[in-house]
Amino acid sequence: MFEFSLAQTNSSGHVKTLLTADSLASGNVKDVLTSFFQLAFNKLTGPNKELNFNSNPFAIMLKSDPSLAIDYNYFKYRILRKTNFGFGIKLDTSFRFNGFSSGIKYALIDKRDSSTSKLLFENLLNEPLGKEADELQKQLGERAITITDRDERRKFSNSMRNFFNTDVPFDKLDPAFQDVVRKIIEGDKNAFPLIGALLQSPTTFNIKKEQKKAYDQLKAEIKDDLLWTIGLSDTTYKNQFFFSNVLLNTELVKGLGKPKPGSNLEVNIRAALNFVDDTLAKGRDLKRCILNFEPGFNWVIRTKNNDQSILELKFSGSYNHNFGMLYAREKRDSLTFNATLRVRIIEDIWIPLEIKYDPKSGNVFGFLNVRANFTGLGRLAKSLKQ
Amino acid sequence: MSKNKLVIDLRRIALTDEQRRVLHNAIHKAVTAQLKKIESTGKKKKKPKKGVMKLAPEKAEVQTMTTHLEVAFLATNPGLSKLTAILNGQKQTITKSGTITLTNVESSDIILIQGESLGMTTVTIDISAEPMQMSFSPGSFNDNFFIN
Repeated sequence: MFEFSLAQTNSSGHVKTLLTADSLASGNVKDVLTSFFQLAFNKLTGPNKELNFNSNPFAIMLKSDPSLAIDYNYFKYRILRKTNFGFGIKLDTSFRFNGFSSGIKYALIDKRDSSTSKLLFENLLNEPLGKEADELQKQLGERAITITDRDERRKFSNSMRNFFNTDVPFDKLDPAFQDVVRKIIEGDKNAFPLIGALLQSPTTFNIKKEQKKAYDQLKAEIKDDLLWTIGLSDTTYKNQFFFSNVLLNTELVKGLGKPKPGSNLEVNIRAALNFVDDTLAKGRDLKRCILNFEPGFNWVIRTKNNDQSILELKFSGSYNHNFGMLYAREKRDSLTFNATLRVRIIEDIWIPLEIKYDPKSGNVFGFLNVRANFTGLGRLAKSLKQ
Repeated sequence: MSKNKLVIDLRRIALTDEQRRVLHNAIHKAVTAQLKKIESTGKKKKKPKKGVMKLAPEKAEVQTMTTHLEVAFLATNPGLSKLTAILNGQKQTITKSGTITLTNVESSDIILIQGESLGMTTVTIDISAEPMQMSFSPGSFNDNFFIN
């Protein structure tokens, strides 16, 4: 669930930017725990509008010190990596300032983080194509030692590099090298069933691309694993630095069933304790305590070619219980049904439309939000520039 | 010219007698020391038997080196990566960022690199090789260094 960019030199000497992106995460999950920066315009159509900025402190530190990405630092700062902080301003209907808000969130369990998943690493070690590639490389290395001519050996070394670590298709490699590979594979077909199958026509395959495909499949297997967060947020009054609201919340997301290309279903459960001012009492306090419990299902529709979520529909029920003093005609318990439609506009810009329905009063409330990831905005700016 | 004479043409550089004497002594001393070294390591060359084909170039003086491979695993935890360097059958494996040291490395050797990582990997070699640095995206990877 973590994303960062780093410029580095690849083996051919060109500098390119690599992104280990959580691009497969659903918009709902990105709202639960953001990996980089998120700018959110919430309740645009409601009376209490919000402009929120959320970020990951480790992502900010990494921007100024890329050495934090080295594994021992990555582990050292694991608490910061799992933390989100945010702040925002509240606006009224006329877009006038209506108070500050701030919050902090921590991922207690994040099994869908592909950079730290032990399960994913175990699966990667046992991935059959990788094992075959290692054995084939070993045998090619033994073949290379027998070449006595220095230039021929250098040429063979280059061919091995082109075969394993570039995008050159197999049939574009040096024909003599192709023959050596074929001979090794045909000499022990049982040891190389996958590469042997790839060698059957058409021979335009590329081993690096095949290995990436295999790794993406392994990653997809953990993308729906458990994510559980706890958080604390607050809002201040517009004319006094005193909390008008303190919210303790926890949220859980977990995919249901085996992930399939095209769509998947995830369960999303939220629970929150909201401490707010009792306006009947004199002065400002946080004596009203309201429990909110919201279980729901999020249906994620993905593109089949790159498995990215493009549209999401979430249905949930919301139960509220007031532990404090009741106002006139206020009920202690209430129930609403909610639906949220999320549309991915471009890469990391989402427009969630939230609709709440109160079955007792028959009222329907709607909120329009916009959530933008900073990397998404960067891409948009770049495309507009071009 | 005598086989024991070494002539150095100083072209337009003019030397005083004293300078010439000092320089001459220094050269003589250095050359004598070098000749002694050559004599002590020099072996008598065996002539190949008639009718026997020479298969590999003769290694009169094999210079071996020690090389260090600087390995960095990025954006993952230690222990969630594995990189193995193989040189003429000797294997060394690393599972967190650090250095692999390989001894008895010769020119034209090939060091095989293979591994798996959940993060990005960079490997840098400290002797002249092709390439001098390689990098890999998360997943399985294979490559090799050719020692110049």
